[in-house]
Amino acid sequence: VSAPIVEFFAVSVGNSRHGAPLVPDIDWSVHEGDCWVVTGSQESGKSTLLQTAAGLRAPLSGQILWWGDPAPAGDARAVAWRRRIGMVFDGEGRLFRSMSVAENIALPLAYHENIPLAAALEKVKPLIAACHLESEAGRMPGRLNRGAARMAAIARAMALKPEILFIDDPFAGADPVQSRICRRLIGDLAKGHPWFGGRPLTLVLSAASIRPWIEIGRQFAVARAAGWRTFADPDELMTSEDTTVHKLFSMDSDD
Amino acid sequence: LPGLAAFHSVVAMDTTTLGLPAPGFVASKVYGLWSSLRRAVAFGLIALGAMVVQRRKARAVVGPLVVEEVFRAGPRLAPIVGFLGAALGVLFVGQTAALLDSVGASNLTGPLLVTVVIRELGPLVSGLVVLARVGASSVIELGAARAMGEVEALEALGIDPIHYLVTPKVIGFTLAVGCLTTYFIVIAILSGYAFAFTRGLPVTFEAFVGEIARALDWIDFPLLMIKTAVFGAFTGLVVCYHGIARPIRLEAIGGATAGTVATCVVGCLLIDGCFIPLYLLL
Repeated sequence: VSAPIVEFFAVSVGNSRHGAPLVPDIDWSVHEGDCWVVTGSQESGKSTLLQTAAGLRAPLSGQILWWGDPAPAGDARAVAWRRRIGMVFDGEGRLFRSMSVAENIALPLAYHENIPLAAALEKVKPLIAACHLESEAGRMPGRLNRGAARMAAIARAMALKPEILFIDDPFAGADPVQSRICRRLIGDLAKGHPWFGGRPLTLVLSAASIRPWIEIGRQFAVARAAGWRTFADPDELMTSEDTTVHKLFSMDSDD
Repeated sequence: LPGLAAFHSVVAMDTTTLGLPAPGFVASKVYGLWSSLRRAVAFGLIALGAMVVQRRKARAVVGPLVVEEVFRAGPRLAPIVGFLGAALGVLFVGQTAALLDSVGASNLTGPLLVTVVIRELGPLVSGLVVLARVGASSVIELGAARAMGEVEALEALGIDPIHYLVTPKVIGFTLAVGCLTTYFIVIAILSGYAFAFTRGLPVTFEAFVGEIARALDWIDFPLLMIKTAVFGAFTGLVVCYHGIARPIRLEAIGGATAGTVATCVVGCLLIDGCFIPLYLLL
């Protein structure tokens, strides 16, 4: 078994310390090379869980370790640690609206390598091509459709070559063609993408639908207030008697 | 790296309570004011600390942003500041010089102009113009970035929002207010003399400038630099505090902008008041 990247010990996640946790008592570990698909109904806490696992939110209770240690704070190690974790937010990916798509993708590289934005733009050209964003590169985020904005957000998160990538609801708002491109890209990332030198990237995705991810996901989890449940492989998920899983599959069929 | 972690602690302060019994109206207002002041001072110190500690970091990215802010709050405001300087020159400098000359008190022209135009109105008018023209729009920009989650996106990319967003604005405003003040003073004095000259003031330009130069003390120059720098840095910090220090909803940005303008006007006047004893003592 490969080394754990993220480990949850009795972690509860939620938006408010005063309210009930969205997902309580999570014991979970993400290992190198894993491809987790975290599913659940709307408002079940998937986004909050991903942001907590990415170290952007504090858990309500419990302990989280990244590479065996808690999140470093207050020194340069925090920046180095942060660069190892990529996060793609839900919605339109929270692109910087005052910058073009290409500048959005180049900014993290320019900032961390202390190079002019123009030089970083040259460096990310292969990444822009790999994400099929050549025609959108010069556009401002406000002029993109949601699917293209999410692809740009994925490209921006890939720019720093993180070791683990969290993607919140990759298909939200994407049309069928964009969904297919996005799924192919995520499949390539899980298997080994040229941008990462062919190394399989550890992925954690959240998705409201399970079916599109059966072929790509290697491990699955259901986030819900009634309790966190994991499935070691797609077969276990498909044969599960879990009522939430049944409900999610039946919703996919309705769609 | 102080900013990234410290930024959270400032935001977290919003939720801290003293655990005391429910206070009365006055007590709750006083505590609210104290909390706001504490948060603002903490944010200011963190931002200034981040500027010092991270001064060499990502200069290739932050440097152009500083230049952009200086240009935005400096040369782009030259027309309006020039107009205000010329108007003040005609309305105050020219009329005052002519009036003092008519009552035989032209020896007071220099001290009066130095006190009113150079020490007081120059920095104050420049600071308020920067606040009105750039500060207010910056609160909207930063508030929108905060409300749309762009600040969290910066953090997710390991980019310290204080270093990337606050530093350029504070440095830009500081330099811009200093430059605009100098420009404003020069325009006010020149246009004032021109107006007085057209009214038949029997004083040469050399004598007019000489009067002002004699009234100036060496301490005026460093104090003017310090005052303009404090006005600019204060305005920049208040703008950034209202824009990004706390979670904000899109509909609350208008209120934050109004709050910024009110805070900056009152704050600049209070800071201005702090310089009066220095001028009197030195």
